[in-house]
Amino acid sequence: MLRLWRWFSFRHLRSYKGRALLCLLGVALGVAVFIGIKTAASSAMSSFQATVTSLAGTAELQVIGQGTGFPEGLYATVVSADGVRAATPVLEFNVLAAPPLDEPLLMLGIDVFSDQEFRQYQFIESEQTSGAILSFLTEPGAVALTEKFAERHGLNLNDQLEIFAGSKRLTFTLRTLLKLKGPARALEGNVALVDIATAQEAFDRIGRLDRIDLLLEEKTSTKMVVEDLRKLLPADVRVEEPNQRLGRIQEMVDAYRLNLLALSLIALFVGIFLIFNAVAFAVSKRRFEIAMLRVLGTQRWQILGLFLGEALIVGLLGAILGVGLGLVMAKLALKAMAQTISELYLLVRAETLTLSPLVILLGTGPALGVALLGGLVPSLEASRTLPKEALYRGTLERRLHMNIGKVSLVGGVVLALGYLCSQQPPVDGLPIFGFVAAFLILAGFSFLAPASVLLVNRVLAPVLARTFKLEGQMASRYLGRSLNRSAVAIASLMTALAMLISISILILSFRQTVVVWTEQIIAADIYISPAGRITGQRGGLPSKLVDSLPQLPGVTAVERLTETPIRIGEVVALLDATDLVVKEKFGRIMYRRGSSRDIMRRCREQGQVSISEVLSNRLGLGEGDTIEIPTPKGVESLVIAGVFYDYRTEGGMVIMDQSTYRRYWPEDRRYTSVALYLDSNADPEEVRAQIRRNLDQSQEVFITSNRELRREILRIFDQTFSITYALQIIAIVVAIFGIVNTLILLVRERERDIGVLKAVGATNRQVQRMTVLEAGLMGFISFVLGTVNGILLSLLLIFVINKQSFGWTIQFSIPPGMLGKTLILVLVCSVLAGIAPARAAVSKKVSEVMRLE
Amino acid sequence: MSVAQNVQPHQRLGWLRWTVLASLVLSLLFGLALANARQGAETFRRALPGYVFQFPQDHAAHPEFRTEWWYYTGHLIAAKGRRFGFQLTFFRHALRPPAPERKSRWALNNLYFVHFAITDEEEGTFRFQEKVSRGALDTAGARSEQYHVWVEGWEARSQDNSHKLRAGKEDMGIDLTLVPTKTAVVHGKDGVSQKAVGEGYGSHYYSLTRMHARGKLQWRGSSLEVSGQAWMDHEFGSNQLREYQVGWDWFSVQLNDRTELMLYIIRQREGRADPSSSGTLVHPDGASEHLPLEKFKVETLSSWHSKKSGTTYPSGWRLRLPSKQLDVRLIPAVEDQELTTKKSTLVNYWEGSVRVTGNYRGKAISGLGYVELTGYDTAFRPDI
Repeated sequence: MLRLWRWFSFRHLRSYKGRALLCLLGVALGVAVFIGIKTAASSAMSSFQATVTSLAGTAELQVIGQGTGFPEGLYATVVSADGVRAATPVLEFNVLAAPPLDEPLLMLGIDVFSDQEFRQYQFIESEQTSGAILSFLTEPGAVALTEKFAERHGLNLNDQLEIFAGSKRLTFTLRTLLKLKGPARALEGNVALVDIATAQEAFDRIGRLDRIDLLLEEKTSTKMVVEDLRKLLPADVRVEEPNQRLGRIQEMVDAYRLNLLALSLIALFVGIFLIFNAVAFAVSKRRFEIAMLRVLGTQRWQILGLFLGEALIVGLLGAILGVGLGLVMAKLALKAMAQTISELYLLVRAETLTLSPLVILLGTGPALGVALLGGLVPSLEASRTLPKEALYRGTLERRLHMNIGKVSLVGGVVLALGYLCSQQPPVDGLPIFGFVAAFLILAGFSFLAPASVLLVNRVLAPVLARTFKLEGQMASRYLGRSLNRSAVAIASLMTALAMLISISILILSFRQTVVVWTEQIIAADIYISPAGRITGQRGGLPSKLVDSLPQLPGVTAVERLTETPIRIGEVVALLDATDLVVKEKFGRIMYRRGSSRDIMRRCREQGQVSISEVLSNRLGLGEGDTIEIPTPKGVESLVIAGVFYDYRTEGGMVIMDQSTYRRYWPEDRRYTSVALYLDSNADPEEVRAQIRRNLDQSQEVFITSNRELRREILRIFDQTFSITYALQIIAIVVAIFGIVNTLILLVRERERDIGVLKAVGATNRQVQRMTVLEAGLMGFISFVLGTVNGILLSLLLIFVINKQSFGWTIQFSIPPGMLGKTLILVLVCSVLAGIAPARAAVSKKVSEVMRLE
Repeated sequence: MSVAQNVQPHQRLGWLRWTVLASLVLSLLFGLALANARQGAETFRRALPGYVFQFPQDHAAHPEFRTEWWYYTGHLIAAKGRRFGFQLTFFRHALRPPAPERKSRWALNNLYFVHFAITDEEEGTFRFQEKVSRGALDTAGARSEQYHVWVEGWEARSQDNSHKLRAGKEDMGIDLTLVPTKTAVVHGKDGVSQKAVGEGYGSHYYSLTRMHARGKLQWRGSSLEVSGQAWMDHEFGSNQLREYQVGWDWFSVQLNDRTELMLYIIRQREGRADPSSSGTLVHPDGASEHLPLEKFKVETLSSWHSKKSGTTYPSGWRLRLPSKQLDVRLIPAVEDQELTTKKSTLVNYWEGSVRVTGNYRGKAISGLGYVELTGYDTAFRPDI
């Protein structure tokens, strides 16, 4: 058998390197996407986990404040609570190392003494550092950095480190270095330590703490301690186990991963078609050899084994290549994921990929499955071939024709199932059924492909005949007759196109929605925010600056915003307190229903709140319901006056009036950003320059114009979707492979017919035109099917999958320009793909191909 | 054989009682003890001759000095004559002079440590606990106007004429009232207990050599009524040690005839006893005598090897004051009374209850004592 294989298969693979490679690439892409996404997600997760667990250390419980933390006096309360064995206070800041370093840093203010039981910080000992460690502990402005960070930036002991924190530019002195162990490993070493007193002083947080980590007495029930502490602490201070934080992130990464995994499965789906093509090609190419083998007594199962073996080899090689490609993809995806996590939860830096053998297995396994599945039908066909049939093509063709009704029926049933799935609610907040529906739709359309080809072909036949005369007629007829090959190619191109079109529609609709939203919502002329604005940055603007704004010439109104992350149940949301009087008059909030003026007035006068649509979906609360908001004064039940559209965060938002906020958060005096409305004749540049002049040296703020802010929002939007753009390109590449493969295959199978045509007087040009036309026709049919399929999928993406996983309202719009461009792309690609086979078609001599007749 | 000869070369590294404390500060974090001893001593007051003690005021804290501790050791007896030893020590170490004031209440000025040990002499077991705190938000502190030192709920303070001690929890804790039965004895000469050659290399050091103890001992879940006798040391200074000094053997002896003896031997790097080593003999009537090194002899009888830390300590001593006709043997009540402090100091030292027997002025005599051995831990620090 092995010898047979070597003679039969290896020779073939070797002489058709190019084709084998194409096929291999197809499988590789599917595997790459799968492994890439999976690896990126698990790397992001493990880096996040490393960050969370190494930062939490041995802590069994954490007392966590929100926004500006909590009064330090609670430390004494917590330390003396029953069941608490040890406690340590922490202040946490996400800061930006000033350019040229320009990297995020997690700055921790700790009490090294009580921290000992929780975390193992290892300071590097050397002659140089001996006195410096004391300085680190006692000197204001002393900082410790990790070796890794210091080395990367060429920082030495006693060098200055400049950072942006909120609107402040702060300078620290590097006093000692940390080994990259324990908590210093978080963020891949982008960790800075300062003494807790230094932290309070430098960041203007005197008397406040962000967190207290706890160890419990042995034989103490964690639950009891949590309950006791909750009674002792204000409502806006949470008590939780460190891994609870992990759980929330896991959910987010899961959603992210699921979305992308679905895409990778689509790529593998396309891979099935590719393998089918390749093996079918191999079978047809060697029909004569098969016949010979059968005549010589080779068993059917041996023939089957030969072809399946080939498919498996291709699958395996593709899988190996895919692993490599996947790692490249993972690197890209990881960056995007780390960014998302950083924006929403906790500053993370993910650079290292954690590659698990399991993931590789999971990735290559389906590839082999795909190879087997794709190879099975043509291999069976080959093994069933009777020696005499091997010289003749017609039999199987007829068989498929007869079954078209059945195949279409299956397709219809699958589509109906898909519809049913699309109507199901989410599972655990994940749109599992939505994704199942997407697959069913893709599969259903694939089953419907043969019937659709016949249908479209019939409609188009007269047109083609009229336009392209005889060649057109022939092309259309050939396509109809070679349905078992062409339908597969068309289905594969259709799938790729459907993916491309649906995702394009989703992104473009979403983008259009966001564009409209930003135009409505960004109404002020100038926005001012702290320069060091990174995740969870809680710094405010200099109060002197904010106070001076109303007096600036050209300023009509000032809207001050205080933003604080809060937790409502298990949902992390942003609380925006703003001057609604100003917003009511000059700005806008896009409410989903009700008069916006009326809603804002109720918020202002009756202390009600508005919540974003995302939050409304997450909490299942709507207009007129009450929402429970944890504040330093206790949990407040506030009436929801309105629900507004917002596309800024996945977690949702609450808007209340400044007066309401000050009532419940009397100690928070920050303004985290400010919007200025100018006189119609004022020059924004002039005002901007004036604000700059009023700033101290040590203050750093962003002053953004209306236009710049809108542009920035769209830039972030595009960045977020950059991975998807990459996937779209992959989809197109896969699809083009499909066309080239199929056409070459079709031409090969048709050698004899072409010989006959040429024998009866067809010119080379006519034969070539006919082949290219057929290619174009396939492309067109795929496009039509792909568009219908894509639109259905996009509806599913927007109204089921998006709604269930994010809850955004996206205005559905089909961008005709995009469809037009795709059509042109498909036609050009398929015509180009037809050229090589067309050449091949006329390259053989009539006598040679007719020899066997 | 004198103690000086007994110090082996491999034991050359170590600490005085003073350094236990100083090293607490930094070694606990970075193994870089005494880095601060070199700098800034001038900003603290030094221990100079002429200091006049005033009681009870001098029981309270002396923040103008860098380092200060209150050391209680004692012997307790519960019902049925069950014997316990206890040690409770509060340390204060200033990392920077009090001025200038900083805004944050977490600003690190002083570090506070407590070491707390119980020896169950019947069971032959020993346990210790430790705490460390920067004293932010008054979770630890030492008041200077009135005697009160505390670290996270463990405390020592004066009340009327007595000292109140409280430390530990249910499984191991004490709540004791100590009443001095003799006046305070000031060690050294002219108010200074010299620790090395040179001005300022010393401390102000006094002891309450005989205190009556009564109160509660929490031990392994049961609460025991106890009474017994205790010894208190209080010492403060700023810059006492020289670089060539590596360790310290300290002895306190309470004889049954109400005579007490305190001796300390400072070991130099080459193994010699430092000439500043000295002691004090306290007579039953409270009168005391300074004992320079040449007046006493200390001989090691045996040694004990700690499996926990790998350190070998002397174990069992013969103390002689030939001119006073005093010759006693000190035998540890339990061999293992080693504190391997992981949290506050990273320093290993031996501090334990001993039983005393021998002759004084030709008569057989017995008593109780406490011994402290520092600087035997080779794993600690290579050099200053």
